[in-house]
Amino acid sequence: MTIYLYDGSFDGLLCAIYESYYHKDKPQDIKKVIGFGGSLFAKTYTVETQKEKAQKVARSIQEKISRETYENIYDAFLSEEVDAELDILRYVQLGFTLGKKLDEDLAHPLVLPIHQKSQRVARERHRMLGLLRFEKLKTGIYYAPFSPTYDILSTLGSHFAERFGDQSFIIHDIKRRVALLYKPKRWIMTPVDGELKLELDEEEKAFQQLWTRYYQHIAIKNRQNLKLQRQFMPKKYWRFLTEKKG
Amino acid sequence: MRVGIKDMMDHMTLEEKLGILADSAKYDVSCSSSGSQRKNKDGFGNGHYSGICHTWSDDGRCVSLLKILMTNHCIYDCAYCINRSSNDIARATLTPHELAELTSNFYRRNYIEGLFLSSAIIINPNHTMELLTETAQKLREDYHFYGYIHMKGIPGADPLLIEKAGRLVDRMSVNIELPSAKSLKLLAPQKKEENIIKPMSFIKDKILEGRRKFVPAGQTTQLIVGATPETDLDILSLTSNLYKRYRLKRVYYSAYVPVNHSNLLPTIMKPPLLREHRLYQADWLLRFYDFKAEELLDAHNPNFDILLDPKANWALRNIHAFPLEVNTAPYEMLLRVPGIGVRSAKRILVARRARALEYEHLKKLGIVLKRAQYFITCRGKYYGNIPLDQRLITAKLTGQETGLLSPSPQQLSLFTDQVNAVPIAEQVKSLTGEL
Repeated sequence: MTIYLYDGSFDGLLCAIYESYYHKDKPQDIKKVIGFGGSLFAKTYTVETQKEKAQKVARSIQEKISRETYENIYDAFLSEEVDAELDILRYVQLGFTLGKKLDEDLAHPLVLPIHQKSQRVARERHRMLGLLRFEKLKTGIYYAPFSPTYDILSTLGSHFAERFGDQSFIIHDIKRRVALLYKPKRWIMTPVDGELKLELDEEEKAFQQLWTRYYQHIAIKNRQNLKLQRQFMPKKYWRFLTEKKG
Repeated sequence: MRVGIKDMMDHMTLEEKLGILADSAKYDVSCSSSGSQRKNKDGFGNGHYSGICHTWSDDGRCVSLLKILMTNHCIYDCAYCINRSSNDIARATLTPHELAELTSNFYRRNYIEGLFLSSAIIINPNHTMELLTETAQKLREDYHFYGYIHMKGIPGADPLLIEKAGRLVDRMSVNIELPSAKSLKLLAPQKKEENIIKPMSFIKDKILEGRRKFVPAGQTTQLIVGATPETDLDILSLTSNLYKRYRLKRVYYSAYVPVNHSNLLPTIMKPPLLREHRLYQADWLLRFYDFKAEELLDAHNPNFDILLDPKANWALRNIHAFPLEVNTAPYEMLLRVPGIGVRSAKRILVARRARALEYEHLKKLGIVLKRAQYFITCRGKYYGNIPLDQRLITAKLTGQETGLLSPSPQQLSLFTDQVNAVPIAEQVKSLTGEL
């Protein structure tokens, strides 16, 4: 048995799935090259990422299983959880035998872990649609730093591009050093190394203050419920919240 | 008019005005931004059908919209209201321009989904409605803003003004506030019942005419709970009527928070949050679980139980309908099992097509077994550990197994504060209304 190593990209993972069907050694696990500590007993096989192979796998998952399955795989991949790759492989293998019915078998031990991972990722994404905070820079660009638990940056582009169609913006995943740049009407993702030089628009502080004032006044004191507040809005997100960091 | 306050007003900063007018708006509970599919055409903003919460305030409530009064200067003197004309409080007014600037700048920073604009009655209802409408028009036409706008329909305003506003906004609401004509007369004599019903039916008719662009996210209202002597049954029957006759999207309940002193109002230490919570639970049962008001309460039990939620209460009173076999029970019945919600009932339907469900699957499908176990069987087996007996299960569900407490369920009394009597995690959930 062999451990497959891939470059950490989604295409790379799809290629690993491809190889699991066509390569003579079958994978006992799939790991990212970066961060792989080596193994005493298992062989390793480094998967080469090739766009055409990845597309082939993507297409056949959508055609032979379903679009929903494909989306679940992508979300589960974004979870970055240690067992994500192997869970995805087993789920896809099962999918190629069950076909469209795969995601109906909610209680299946190979289906459930994928659904749970993709739900966790989807939940954080939905939260972030509300909790992301932009600051206006001197250049007129709106800048939003954040540090999500899961790698959800790529899933935010379309939402904010539709909503802020006429404004240039940057969403910056501080932890993973990647940013999403939008300029009407196009967005791209790019790695960010080092510190960004940011100068705020002169009105920015005033609006942050207005918002914070509003936030403090909208709470009803007789009904204070900090526990409930934290349940909806875990403290790990407060660091970037205008109304909470003050 | 108090000269001191008026004088101060002219020199108020935008920030001070914002604070005052947020304070005045906060007792309106609705902050939902759902139901809009408005697309961004040539500017900024769009609807998100299920709504988005942008933050949660210290009371645990979701903040989705910039919820604010245009002014808190009021010609009315409603006993329960913080903005009544006889109160000596700081007053402020925002212009349509200031409101549009705040909305646009907050929105572009992703603080909010849009604007919830309400107002006290300044000069007269028509004048007030005109200013509100002007704000919405400015946002839509000058700012090219396609985000969410929820606007209050001002009771007594000309239908033509309501109609104009309805074409600009996503949602409208006319607040009933006091859940009976008698209470309305007593506490808000200047707000006439027909002035509330008129705009409400007008909005309903316009929506039913089928013009897609008129108030596309529907209309809502709010009832204050605990300021007047209506029972839960009174309130729930009113609600049920509002859904049926006026096609309301939502009815909101607001636990009465004492802000004024008046002989006409009850003296309470804390707002009746649990009662509000029970009403939300029951409201959910009406809208998504196909319950009828009269199944939940009747003349003998006109108020909700403190210790049991309305669904568990119903299930225990109808214990003969249980246990249900999860592998075969129809959807409508699964919905009636305590611990099974809409989402988990749907999951059961899908999952049991693929395989016969085992007991250990149920938890993974999102079923709360702690409650559901007493009401179901799984492949014929009952997992409740105690006999299917109304009193025994009641004791389990309320966490009162000592037998020292009276077996008859306690009733919530109207004007006392019994929130503290509730030990359970119950209070934590109290604002979501989900079961």
